[in-house]
Parts: sequence; structure tokens; C-alpha cells
Amino acid sequence: MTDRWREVYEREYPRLVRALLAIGRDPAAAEDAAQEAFVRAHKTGLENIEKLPGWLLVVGTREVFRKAKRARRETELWASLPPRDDGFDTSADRVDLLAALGELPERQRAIVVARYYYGLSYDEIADHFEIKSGTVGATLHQAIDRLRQIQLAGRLARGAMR
Amino acid sequence: MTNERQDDEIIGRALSRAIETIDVNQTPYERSRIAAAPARRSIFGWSQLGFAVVGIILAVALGSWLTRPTESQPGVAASPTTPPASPSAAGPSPTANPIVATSVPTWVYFPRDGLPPGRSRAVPSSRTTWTMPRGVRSLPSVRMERQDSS
Repeated sequence: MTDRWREVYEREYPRLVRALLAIGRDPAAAEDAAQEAFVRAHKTGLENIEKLPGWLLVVGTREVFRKAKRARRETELWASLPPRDDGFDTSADRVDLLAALGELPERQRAIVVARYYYGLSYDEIADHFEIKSGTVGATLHQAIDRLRQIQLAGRLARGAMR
Repeated sequence: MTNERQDDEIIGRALSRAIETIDVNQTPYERSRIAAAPARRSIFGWSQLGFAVVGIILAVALGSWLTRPTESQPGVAASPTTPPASPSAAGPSPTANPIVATSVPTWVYFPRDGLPPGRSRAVPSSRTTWTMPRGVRSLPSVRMERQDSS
């Protein structure tokens, strides 16, 4: 049983921490929430969890939100990210995207990460986050639209500075 | 609409790749919380709580069954309509009527010629009746004897 948990942990933990980092933008809180999610999964038992990755993401996300509400710790991730390159390259795009993601409301961030990083379906997201499937689509569309605008603004800004 | 959707997917995939590049500190499994406390469970889980409740209910039921009043026991089951007999109610008359025994001692007074009346304690012969002490005559019979002699 321990070997099974080790396998699950080593497979899911890095992805979960990255997702929670992208959602919460606090490395310490992301790690803490990921550990807490695994502890809850351990208590619940693997046999009682239908889709573990999504389950861990939702539990971790709730934990991140709870921590964020209590102590609005922010911007640590962005300080640790590589400095923004003035060149119009992929690395800059990634930084732009992550920065843009950070500007979205918490709920939108969680749904975007669940959809595009975890690959959950609309129905799965609706089920896990207890919202309507239609709301998932609308939220995703708004979020991506906002990401596009922010990313475009970043590109234009870098292009103007050249 | 389709192009817009495809565009959304492209941005989504780019975002996914961006998230994948984030460096994270991977806590080794040996130092993770689940490895540190593999058998950590709540002391008062639902199952333990359920067993405790059932145990208490059984104990109360058994206790009430063992201490239930029975017909052979006086007190609780006794009829409240039966008035308790007291020495004052029974009076000093040493009649042959059965007297309900009580814990209060019952005295029977009898006349003695030229002397103040004597008394004797009535000893119950059973739980509900008692017999008159030997040599003790009833007051009405003594009175009748006195009237006859005078």
C-alpha cells in the first residue's frame, strides 16, 4: 500500500504543486495545500476516490483559497520568476501568460488551470467545483479572452520598446 | 466561432506549458506528511462513535432491566390505596382484629388491680398479623368482669 502511495505521490505531487502555484501564486501555500490534499486523500482512501488527480486539485484549490483569504500573501512567485526578457520570444510569452493568469479572479484561475493544465472536462469541472456546466464554459471564455488581452498588451508593450 | 474556440485552445495549451515550466520544490515522499503519519486517523471516527453510542444504549437497557421492580418486592408495586396502619390509628385496643405490622413498636396496655396499667409489646407472628401476648385480656372483657363483680 505504501508503494502505491509513493507511486501516486511522485506522479501527482509536482503537477499539483504547479497547478496550485499558478492558481494561488504563493509557493509556500501551494506546497502546504498540496500536502494537505494528499493527507485528506490518504484518510479518504484511494478506493473511495474516483478520479484522484481532479480530486486532489479541487481539495488543494480550496485549501489555497482558504489560505489566501486568511493572509493575502502574494507576489512571491513573481519575484522568483526569471526576469522579463525584452525579446518577443516564447519565454516572454510564458511569463506574460502566467502574469496574466495571476490577474484573473481566483475562481477563473482555478477553472482555467483545471481545464487546460489538468485537462478536466466541463462536466468534471462543474461537478468538482459545484457549478453548472454552462457556467464553466462562460467562465473559461471570459478568462481566456482576458488572458488574450493581457498577453497582447504585453507583446505590444515589448514591441514598442524595441 | 470555431476559430475563436481554436484560439482559446491554443492559448490554453500555451498556458499549460507555461505552468509546466514553473520550478517547484518537490518534497520527497519520505518527508511528505502521508509518509510521516501513514496510519494517522481520527481517534473518534464515526465507527468508534457509533460503537460507543450502541454500548451506552445497551448498558442503560441492561441496567434498567436488572433494577426493574418485581411483584414480590414491597414498596413501588404496593397499592397506594391501602392506608398504612399506625399505632395511634389502631389504638390501644387489644382486639383480635389483625393489625398491619409496621416498624413502629406496638404496645398493648392492660389493667392491674391496685396498680397502674401495665403494658406489653405486641410481637407480630407474621408479616401482617400479630398475636396477643399471653395473659393479656381485652379491655372490653375486663370492663365487663368489673361491672359484673360490682
